Amino acid sequence: MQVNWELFWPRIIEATWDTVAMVSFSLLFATLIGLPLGIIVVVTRKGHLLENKAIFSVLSSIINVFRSVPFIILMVAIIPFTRLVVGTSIGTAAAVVPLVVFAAPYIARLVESSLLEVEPGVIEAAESMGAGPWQIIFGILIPEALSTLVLNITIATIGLVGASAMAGAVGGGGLGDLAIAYGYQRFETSVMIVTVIILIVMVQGLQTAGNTLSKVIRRR
Amino acid sequence: MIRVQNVTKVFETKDGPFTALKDVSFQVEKGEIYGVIGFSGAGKSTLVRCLNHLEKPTSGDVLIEDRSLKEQSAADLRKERHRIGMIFQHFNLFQSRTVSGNIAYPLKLAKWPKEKINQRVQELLAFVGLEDKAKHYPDELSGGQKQRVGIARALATSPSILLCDEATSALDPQTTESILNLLKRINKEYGITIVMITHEMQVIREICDKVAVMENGEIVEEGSVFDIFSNPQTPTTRNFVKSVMNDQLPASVLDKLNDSKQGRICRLIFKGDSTGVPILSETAKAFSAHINVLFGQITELQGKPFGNLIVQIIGSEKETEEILQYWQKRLFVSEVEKRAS
Repeated sequence: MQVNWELFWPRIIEATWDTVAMVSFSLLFATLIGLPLGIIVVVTRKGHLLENKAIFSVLSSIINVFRSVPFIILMVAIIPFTRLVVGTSIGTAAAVVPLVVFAAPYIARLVESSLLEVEPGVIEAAESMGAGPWQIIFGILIPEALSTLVLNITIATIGLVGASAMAGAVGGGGLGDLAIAYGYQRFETSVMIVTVIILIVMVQGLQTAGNTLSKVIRRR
Repeated sequence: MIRVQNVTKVFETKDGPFTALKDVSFQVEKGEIYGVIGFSGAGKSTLVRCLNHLEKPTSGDVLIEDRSLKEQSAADLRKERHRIGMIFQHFNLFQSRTVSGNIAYPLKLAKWPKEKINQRVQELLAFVGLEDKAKHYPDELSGGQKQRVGIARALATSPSILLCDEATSALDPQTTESILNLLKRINKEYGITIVMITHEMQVIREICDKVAVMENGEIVEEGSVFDIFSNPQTPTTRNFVKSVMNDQLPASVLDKLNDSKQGRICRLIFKGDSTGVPILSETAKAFSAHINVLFGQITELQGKPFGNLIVQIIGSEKETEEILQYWQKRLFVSEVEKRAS
């Protein structure tokens, strides 16, 4: 069967933009939640700047709970919540909600591991100069971890590209939706191949950009 | 002036409480270079962190210029730390900041105006001899250069006290020498009180005025470097002194002498003025016994000569006693024991 490309190209382009929008917005919101969460989980642990066992245990457990639910199940499970937030459970906007819920705890863990790589001695040096906990978090901890942080956020972004394709399974729009609706259900193999190629290019571009940015920050 | 009063520090570990410091008390006078030596695990690092309250003592208090640290609020304590610089074994520089940025950081914390910060950073870079490295990042520097940055950073807010935690332990001997010279200069030119934590007796001998020897969380011996080196009291101290003074007879020589049972072996210690006395030739003229020199060394400690001589007296019992008495009037004499000395 001959594919009608004149019909498909506009759809592919639209779907690509949908994917870009989904990934961008969910990354933005997930980072806004995950970054502070990751910082709190680092500084409240034992022996750290703002040690607080209660906050640490509660947050760490919550992160683990969300991290253990597979995305495809999470997406369906939180439909009522999604409706509450964006008023619908279908479409690109609706896909952003589960993507954020999925990615925020993931980013929190990535932020945590990045910040823990900062030498305790460096923090101690700042303390010995009379820096307070907030000055250390924003003036030392984050700048020192920034290059690792960028690499880890890149990993999360690529994870989001994959997850956003899955969102297609429940009518989330984007490249995944297109691939499933036409490539899989209507046996338009060439459409599937094109979407996969676009996804590959997207992931390659993101990884290269992340690596470059991280290197620029590290200045080595 | 730093006064440490009955400081005890107990850490809670998985295996129960661990006492890192046991009732430690000492005093560091203004302008002094005070050394604390001990093997790893002796509690020195915990002790130095109590001096700026990076570690809070479980009991006891630390007074800086009569200000008790125990009673200060977190905010006051942070201000107090602007007056106490600290340098570290692994330098602990901020990798994300340039050399200038590292030195400027404590000044930013102290809320200095920008122009004054730049001026002060230039001054400090010149002082430690790193003007050409201002824009470099720490990972582009050698160990010695990193420690110079650490020193400049610690001195930025013109503290009256500098704490050094194993500051030369990660450096090669030559670099150690140059860093010690820099610390000496800081002490002389700015009158900054320095507390040095180290496990190297060499460092103590080079620059310290006074020294405390730590073992198992306690100070086992304290005194002027001259006294500690010339007359160590505890086995730990003797071990440390041995590590740099090399004042021991080789075991084989000692064995042979012990076996021969001939004469008596004594150690003569010359301190300060007594090094000028021609004691052996005087003895030889006054007595008929033979005196055999087995080992001798004269070094300088704190600008004072310090001699160490091991001799064998071969003569009658009576005369040997007379010689010993003659010597004891003038210098410190101890008999070298069998086997070990």
